[in-house]
Amino acid sequence: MRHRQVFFSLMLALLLGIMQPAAQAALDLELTQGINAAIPIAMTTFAGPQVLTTGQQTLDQIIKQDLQNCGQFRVLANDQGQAAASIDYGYWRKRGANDVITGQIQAVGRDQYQVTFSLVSVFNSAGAAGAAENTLLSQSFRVNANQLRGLAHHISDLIYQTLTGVRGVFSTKIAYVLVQRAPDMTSKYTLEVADADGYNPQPLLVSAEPIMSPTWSPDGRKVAYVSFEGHRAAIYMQDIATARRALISAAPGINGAPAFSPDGRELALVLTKNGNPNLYLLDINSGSISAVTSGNYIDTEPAFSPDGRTLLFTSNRDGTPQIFQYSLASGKISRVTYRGDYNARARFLPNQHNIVLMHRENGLFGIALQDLTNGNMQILAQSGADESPSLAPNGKMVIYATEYGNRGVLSQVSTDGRIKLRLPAGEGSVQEPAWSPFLNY
Amino acid sequence: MANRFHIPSAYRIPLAVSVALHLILIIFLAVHLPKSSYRANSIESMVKIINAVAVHSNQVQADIETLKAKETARQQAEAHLREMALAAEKRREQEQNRLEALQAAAIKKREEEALKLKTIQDQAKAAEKTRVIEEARVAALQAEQLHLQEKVAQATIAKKKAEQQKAEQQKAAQAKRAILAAQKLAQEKKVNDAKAANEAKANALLQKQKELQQKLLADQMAAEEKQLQQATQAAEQGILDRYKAQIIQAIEQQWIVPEGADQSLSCVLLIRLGPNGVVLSVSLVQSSGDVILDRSAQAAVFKASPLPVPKDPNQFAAFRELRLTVRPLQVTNASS
Repeated sequence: MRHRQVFFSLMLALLLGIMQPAAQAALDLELTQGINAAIPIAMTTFAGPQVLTTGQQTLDQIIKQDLQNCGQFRVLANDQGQAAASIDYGYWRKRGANDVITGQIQAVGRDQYQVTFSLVSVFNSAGAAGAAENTLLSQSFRVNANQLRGLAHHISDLIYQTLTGVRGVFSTKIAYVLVQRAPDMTSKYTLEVADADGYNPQPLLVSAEPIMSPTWSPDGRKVAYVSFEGHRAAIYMQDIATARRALISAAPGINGAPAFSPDGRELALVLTKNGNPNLYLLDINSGSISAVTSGNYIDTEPAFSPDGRTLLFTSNRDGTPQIFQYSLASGKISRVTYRGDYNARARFLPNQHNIVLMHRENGLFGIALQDLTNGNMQILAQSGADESPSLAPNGKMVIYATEYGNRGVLSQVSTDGRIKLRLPAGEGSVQEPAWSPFLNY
Repeated sequence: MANRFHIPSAYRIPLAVSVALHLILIIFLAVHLPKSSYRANSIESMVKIINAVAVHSNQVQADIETLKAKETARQQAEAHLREMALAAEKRREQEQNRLEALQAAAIKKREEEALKLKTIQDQAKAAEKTRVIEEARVAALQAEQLHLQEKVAQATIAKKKAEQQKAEQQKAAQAKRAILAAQKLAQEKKVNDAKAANEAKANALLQKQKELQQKLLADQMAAEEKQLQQATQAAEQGILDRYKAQIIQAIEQQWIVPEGADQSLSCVLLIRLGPNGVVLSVSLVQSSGDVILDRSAQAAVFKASPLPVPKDPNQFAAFRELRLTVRPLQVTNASS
């Protein structure tokens, strides 16, 4: 009697047990595909006085411009126009923003300002709109009036890094050559250094003879360039802060295309000691020179890899200008580009898997991105007259020279090809841009 | 005009000036201006006339001396009188004091005597009182004693009576107990018989119950099978899958994959849905290690809300909780 009782109660329990999970388990789903689009973020006008920085823009206008122009974000402005003291999460969710930037500026002391900003996510895990756990970033700064523009760029950097995980380049600089032709057909060449957005240009060198190939040292404190003053090419290295310069190379013939090594101790350059342009390595401190390539070809435009072990360069040893790679350890040279009849001025991306270069296809000069692992080439821009590409230190943006309205202007394109923009042009023709490294000073 | 009065033009002005200057000089000499007239007046008004008498200094000195002597004599007499008055005053006061002291002493003595008398009287009264009280107490004690003796006698009688009663009661109780025991035995026998009968009945019932349960289980299992069949049919019809696909598609369109996201990473989200597919919460069950990838997936789910779910409540029950694994394997370009 008792055994039967036990047996049947066990059966009952088993069956009930089996029945349970089927009714209450979470449904399993897998998501493997997404879209490649700009992240929508909202920018509200900063509360407080409308302080205009150099360039007649307010802080929030500069931040909005930075974030919009880098191509990663789609900035939604506050329709209401007023600076809101508290964030209206419902409004921003309806408009599709992922995050909101708010801030305020206060005048304190003499010509000083206290600036506070917050980056807040519109969603938190419970779907509710609480403020504290949504705040991704919140900082306060106290600066002089003349530092406001720099602060706006720094805030853009912080926001960029928080939202993309990549370091921002809004506080970096660009060097370029400005050519102005006077009515009597004489030219004036100026080597200028400006903010990455083209504002605030400062001249480093003014010359009646051409200036070419500016390049930055890895610490961002010096620029090396080729100057034709005295009617001969020579390479100079100039300190940005003190404007003092040193003559690095004045060998007979061509001195050209300087490129710093990642540790800043060596300079790769082009000399015509043997009669035709070859690559050489110059030790900056000792001045000693060693040959890299030799032969009856034109080898030029050297560029070090981020790990300092290889050099990219342009050479016509196979007939047309193509990109080659030289290993410093073994001395082996291998060809990199096979598509198109003209490939030049290659530079590595920080990840060392890709290079960005000047590329001609169908007679049109453009800027291309090549994947070294599989040889795939993607055209980023092709206006027909694009040249001299230079990479931003975070590898996300390329600045290059192109023609617009019969003048040389600078343009930028993102390395995913998504956004293109032209820098504001002053007077004259601009060429040979060089993007600075991250400036830690 | 006669010639001799004709003054040449060159001389006219100097002449006129000369005449004017001469006239001014004459006027100054002729007229005396009064000098400081205001001062002279004030001085005159302040002058007084004094009538003086001459006196010999020695005479004056002698008068002064006699006057002085008279003054001191008078002062001395006054002082003397004052002293005498003071002395008299003092003697009078002393007399008065002595009289007062004597009077006070007399009063005090009388009072003392009165007090003594009073105490003696009081004592006598008190002695009387105590005597009375004592007598009363003695009487009371005697009365009590009598009373107690009576009580004792009564108590012994009562005790005897009680003992008698007790003995009787015990006898009666014993008799009763015997009867009860007999009754109890009889009852127990009855109960046991009844129990046995019930047990038999219960077993029979249990048996029946078990049989019924078995039948029920069998029925239930049959029903279960039927349900499962129906469910699989529904799945075959693709309802679940269809909704799952729609949900994935909705989230896909909102998922902005971060640039350079590592394809080997994956995160797991637990999504809770309300009726009509409203996203109630999205919690990160397992992070991919890349905070930005996790956040992008979470944002995508929120932005895809409300998700497409079945309208039927029974079918919707399966969609209340979704476990979403996210892997950045493929990226398409946005249509916008």
